[in-house]
Amino acid sequence: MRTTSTVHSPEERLAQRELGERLALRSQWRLLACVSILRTAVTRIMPLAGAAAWWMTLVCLLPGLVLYWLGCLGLRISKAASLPECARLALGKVGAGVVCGLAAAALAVDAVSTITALITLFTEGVGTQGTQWTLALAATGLLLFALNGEALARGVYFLRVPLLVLLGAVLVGLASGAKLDHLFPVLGGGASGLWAAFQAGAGMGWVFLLPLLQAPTREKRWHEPLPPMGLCIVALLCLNLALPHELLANQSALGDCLVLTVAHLPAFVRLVAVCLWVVALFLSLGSGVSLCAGQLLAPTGRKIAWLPGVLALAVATTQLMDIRWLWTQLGAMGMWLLVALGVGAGVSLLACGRKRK
Amino acid sequence: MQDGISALLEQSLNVLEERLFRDVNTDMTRRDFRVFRREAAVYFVDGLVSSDFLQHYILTPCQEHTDAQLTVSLEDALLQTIHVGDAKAVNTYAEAIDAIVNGKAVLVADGMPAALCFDIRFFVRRGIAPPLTESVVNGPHQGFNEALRDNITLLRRILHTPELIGEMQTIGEASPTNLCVMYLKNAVDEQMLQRVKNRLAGIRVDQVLSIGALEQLLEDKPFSLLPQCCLTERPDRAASFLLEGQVVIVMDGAPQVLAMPISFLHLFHTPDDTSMRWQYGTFLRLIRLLGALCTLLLPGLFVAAATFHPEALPVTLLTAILESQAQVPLSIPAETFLMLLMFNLINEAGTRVPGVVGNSLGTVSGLILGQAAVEAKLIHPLLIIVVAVSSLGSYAIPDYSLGMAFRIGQLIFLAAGCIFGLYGMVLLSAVMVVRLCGMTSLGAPFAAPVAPVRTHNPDVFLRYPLWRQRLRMWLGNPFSMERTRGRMRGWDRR
Repeated sequence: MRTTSTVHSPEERLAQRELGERLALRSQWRLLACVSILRTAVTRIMPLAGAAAWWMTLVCLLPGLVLYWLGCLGLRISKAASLPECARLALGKVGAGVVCGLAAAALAVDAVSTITALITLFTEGVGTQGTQWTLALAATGLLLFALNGEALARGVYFLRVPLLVLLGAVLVGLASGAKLDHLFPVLGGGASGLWAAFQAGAGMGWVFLLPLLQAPTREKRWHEPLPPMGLCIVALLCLNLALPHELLANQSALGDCLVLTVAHLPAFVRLVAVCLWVVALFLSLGSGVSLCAGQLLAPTGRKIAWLPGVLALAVATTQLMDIRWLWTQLGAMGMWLLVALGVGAGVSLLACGRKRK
Repeated sequence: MQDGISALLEQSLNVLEERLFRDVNTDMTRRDFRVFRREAAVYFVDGLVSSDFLQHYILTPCQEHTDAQLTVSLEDALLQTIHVGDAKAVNTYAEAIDAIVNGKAVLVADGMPAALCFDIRFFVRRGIAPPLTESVVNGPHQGFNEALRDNITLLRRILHTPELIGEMQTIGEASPTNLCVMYLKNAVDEQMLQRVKNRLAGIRVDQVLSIGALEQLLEDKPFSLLPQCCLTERPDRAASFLLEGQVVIVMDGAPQVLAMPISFLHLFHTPDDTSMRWQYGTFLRLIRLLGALCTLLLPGLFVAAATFHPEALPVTLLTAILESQAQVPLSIPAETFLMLLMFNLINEAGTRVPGVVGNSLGTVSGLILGQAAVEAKLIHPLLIIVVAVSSLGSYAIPDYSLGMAFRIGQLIFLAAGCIFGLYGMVLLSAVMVVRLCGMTSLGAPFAAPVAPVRTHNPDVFLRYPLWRQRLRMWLGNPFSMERTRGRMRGWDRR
């Protein structure tokens, strides 16, 4: 009996394992990007832009997209594997620390936004007993159980197909009630509304810069941000088609905005859609916290198992604040995070390029 | 204490008599005789050796050489005289006693500073019978029994290759139990194999009475609900594990063997899947997965939908639930918990009572008790359907341990559904999947090859056509990923 054939070399086996982990990380990033974009679009852009929300979101994502492409180009020219490496080469350990710190700050802000949206979806939207703080503690308890090394990234990778199927069902539900009239007026609430929407949403493209923080370079393809971006735009287009713009313009509360996205669905699909929101926000929260911990520890090269848990608890404590005030502050930070990350990346790339020259 | 066997027979006899407690241990037998003009004795445990073999191959040849002259050493002369295939000389009393209690006949003679151990074991054993818990429609109907040697033989009868290695070991300090670590030399991942050996070597217990106990001593995460090793009583399944590069542990006294590492999704596979055509195998596998999901989620979903999300139910169904609920004294969550507890009670009672009575018990409990409870308006008729379907689902799970895990998980999901509704269940599902993806079996990711993704045999969710399964299942780093090269259906040029 023959039991042998081609023997895989240790390098090949290692490459297989690395590929698996990379795919898991990529799906985690994609989920984070989708949730971050959709959350911002639904809660900040849609009430201001109305019928124009879907294309306004696309416009708001362009700065982040352009920065990503410039970053890719810069990394290719500087031949560095990632932004932190580039910063380390050009500016030393402090430079790498600053870039990673900025990314960690952005991820932490995103996590706070996500947990706020998750809890408010229940307290103000779906309607449930329990305060913001107790629900935040319950969510954090579950999160601590889920934050288990590489498990979260693998879990997101495992769940990507069920989540996409659920999203497909929700989009079909939205499309079934779609009316072309709802896309008009194309300019939504007018120029002032569009400008306000752009100011509120222009910072959300920061998530596109996250792949630049991780090696290796060959993963940083020009079309990397397009799948999550495309998915979000399609979802928003379906939402715009399904919801009358008058309804969109009158929403201001966070919970109402989130629930509005599912309000016009048939009862069962609505339930599925809320469940999808809940799971996506929860997994995105976990991803944000674990990636934030990863960025904080990246310059040191150490692994601290308890750090994501501590960060999750820290994120949960923000729910003790006044939610409306917190939400306003988080909105104001969006643009600055993109600017800070963009400047950090630009300085690192320029310095690295000059040094190489 | 000096443990080396003495050349003086009297001294050896004294030591053995004392250490075997022969004055009270009546089945520790000694037979004295003369051979080559010297006194000798053979020790054995009555019932563990074959009396015929003892008489024909040890005692009779020795008695034929009672007054024969020695031309070579006594040890060599005895080995030439006694025609037993497995004969071995040992030099210490401990080894000799170990051989005796393991069922060998041990011969000591005057002037020989060693003892000769002859393997003439023969004891009462169960015959090869169909497996009790892993029935199949297509495929062989033979299962392992409790004899280590028989079980190894069953495996060797399937895998005719010298690459099938069986390393014998003992486990347990006070009462050592024999076990055999089996693997296919050119398929196994060396790291995994070493890990198994290290774990076995690191076990410090007085005795291991069952293979289930060994499983608990070997698994990665003992607090996890899910099994991380696979127990099978089918030689063909064990052989397929070996072919995939897994390690199989055969233990004396256990009618199952332990395979590791395993992955979660492979616990849903059965030998039927491979024996049947791929379309049928795929269909059955999907049914099994559906059954598992029903077991885990259906009661919780029912409670969550009826209690928290009635708007999601069709009006006719909701009306039926509300109408019958009005006549029932308990709330839906309490009823569901009660029904599931009743099901588990019936199941446990049915398992413990003898076969025929067990069947009757199931019928009586399931039909009569259920019907009586509905007529007495103690429970909801719809709930009986829900609990029955979820229970049927648990029986469709091929691995018993996994079925148990799902039955416990069912109660956890029910609690989540009762407290937080569908949102709680969905969140719990996500967390459970994440935890599952973080688990390992012998260091290999438990949710592999799906998460993390690996190059693997495509036979995971669906039963992929057999001739396209050119790769081994990915677990660890198998020495060779490819089972075969080129077309499996070599004659097919399409």
